[in-house]
Amino acid sequence: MRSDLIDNAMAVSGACIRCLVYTILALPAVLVIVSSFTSGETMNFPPAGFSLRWYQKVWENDLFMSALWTSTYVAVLVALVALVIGFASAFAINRFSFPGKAFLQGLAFSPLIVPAVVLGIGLLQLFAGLGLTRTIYPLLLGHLVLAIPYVMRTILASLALQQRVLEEAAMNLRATPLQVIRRITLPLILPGLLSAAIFAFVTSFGNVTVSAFLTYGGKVTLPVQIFAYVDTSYDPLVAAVSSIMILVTLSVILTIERLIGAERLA
Amino acid sequence: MLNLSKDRETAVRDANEFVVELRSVSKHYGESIAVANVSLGARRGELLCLLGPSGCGKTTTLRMVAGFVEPTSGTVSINDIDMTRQPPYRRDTGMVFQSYALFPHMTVAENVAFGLENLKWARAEREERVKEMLRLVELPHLAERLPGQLSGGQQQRIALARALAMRPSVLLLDEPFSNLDAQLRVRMREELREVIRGVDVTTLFVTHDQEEALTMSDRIVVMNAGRIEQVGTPGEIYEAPSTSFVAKFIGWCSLLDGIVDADGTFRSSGGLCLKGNWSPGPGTAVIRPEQIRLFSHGAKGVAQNARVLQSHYYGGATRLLLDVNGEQLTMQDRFPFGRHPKVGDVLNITICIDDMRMISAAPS
Repeated sequence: MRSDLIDNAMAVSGACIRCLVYTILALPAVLVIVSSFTSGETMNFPPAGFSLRWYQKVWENDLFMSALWTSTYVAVLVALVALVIGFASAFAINRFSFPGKAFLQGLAFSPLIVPAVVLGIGLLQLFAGLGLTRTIYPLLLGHLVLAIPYVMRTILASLALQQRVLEEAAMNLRATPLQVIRRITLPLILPGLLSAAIFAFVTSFGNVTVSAFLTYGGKVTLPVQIFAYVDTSYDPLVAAVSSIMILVTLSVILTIERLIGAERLA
Repeated sequence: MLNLSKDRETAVRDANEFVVELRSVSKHYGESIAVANVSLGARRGELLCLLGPSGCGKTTTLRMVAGFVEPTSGTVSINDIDMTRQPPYRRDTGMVFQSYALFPHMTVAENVAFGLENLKWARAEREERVKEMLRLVELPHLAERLPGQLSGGQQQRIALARALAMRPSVLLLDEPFSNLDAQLRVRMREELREVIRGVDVTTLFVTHDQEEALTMSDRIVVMNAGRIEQVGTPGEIYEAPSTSFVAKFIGWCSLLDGIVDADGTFRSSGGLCLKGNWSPGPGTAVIRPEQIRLFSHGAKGVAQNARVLQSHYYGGATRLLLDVNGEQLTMQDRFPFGRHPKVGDVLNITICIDDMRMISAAPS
């Protein structure tokens, strides 16, 4: 009787807290998206009227459009490269024991511990010394360092869940190690690979702290451009750009989830 | 279902060449020894079973033949070629795993074709062979299904079809029935045996189930603690166990330690006396449940009084634990309805010593 009462109270308060957390998490994004459709000159909530004029302004703004392109380009590249490096190292860590394995694992996760600002400054100094500050490499490398820990973690988890006996069966059926990876290992951890790619893309696409130091050839990423813009002016243009960012991120996640879903149904 | 080759047994007996041969194979994991100095060979077309309790090294032995485990010492050869250091994909074996290990992202047909693709078979021949194999295991209608949509028995048959499709020199079966329920297990056992006989492939088969081993094998290798205890036909293993471990592991039995007198009479340390003509010396008598019968007049043997300690009804038979002159013996018989012995009853029994096995203590 009494424990029923406690159970019920726990369930109700749990539901309330969950609602509260979700609301607080989603509220800023919702506010930004709603106020981006304003027809007025200032950021207000509720917005004054409805129009797409700020989206048109973004479209016409070369700085923002070029930054959006740079961000997307860098994020896609980072996702692809992080996937290759992440899979290779996760596979090695999962399958083999070799000297320095624990060190490699620790090294891969260390970017989570080092503050991103420190990383940014360090990379800036390094590439300035190498004379490569006008190339895309510093930005790519900085984002890769941030993305690889997530990618490795996700792929390591997938590999740990995978049944090794399937690979043995493939080898018994005369498949060479490379054929086993291509036809058995990779297809079976595909969901893990895709979510790792999402992690990498989102990490790169949303990053400010490292990107701020590593602009190249006058090009900046979208979050850095937003940051710079807000420093001088505060109008609904920023809300519209931010909404576009949210849209890009969400559509990447949803597309890949659909892909995984479709893969599982097939 | 299939044409059984005639005179198969004589063929097996005559063919003395080993398709698979292990010579003094050992496998150590650090300090622990999984397999110790095992030598065995499977003849062409033979169904050889590795039988033993879990942890006896039978699966490790099988995996050394498949190439998943590298022996610490000794050699493994297949078709007289030393394969000890060759990777699994260069060995002419087909394996059915305990969990079947069908690829979940491929259809049944793709699973069966996988090995053939790796062997670079032409597409048309591949498709023909897949159809043939699915007909062999009587599941041609499931070709386009995914493994997840199949029952356990169906998965097992597909795993067998996949392993046999490549026409391997040796088929390896690792506890293939342990994931099936009891009734299905018996049916699949008979089916599998028939398929294997039909394609006449040399087979190494690992199990911990003595009934499986007795019904399926041409010869049985009984293993214990990494060593071979005895190799022989099912009949030899059951009727003439060479160690008390084998006697105990294969079927129910009572083991009595004692001494055989100069006149051939066995006296157990508990005080039971059996007249026979065994060779004198210390020994262990192996008494199978079916060697103990209810005494009837005119029957051979001496009547003894036995008190029922436990009574277990198994439907077709009743298994009794008896106290005979201070020794505990297991007896199995069918009793008429309503006349099942109860605990505490005293029965008049006789112990049939004609085919009783006496294991002499190892000469020291």
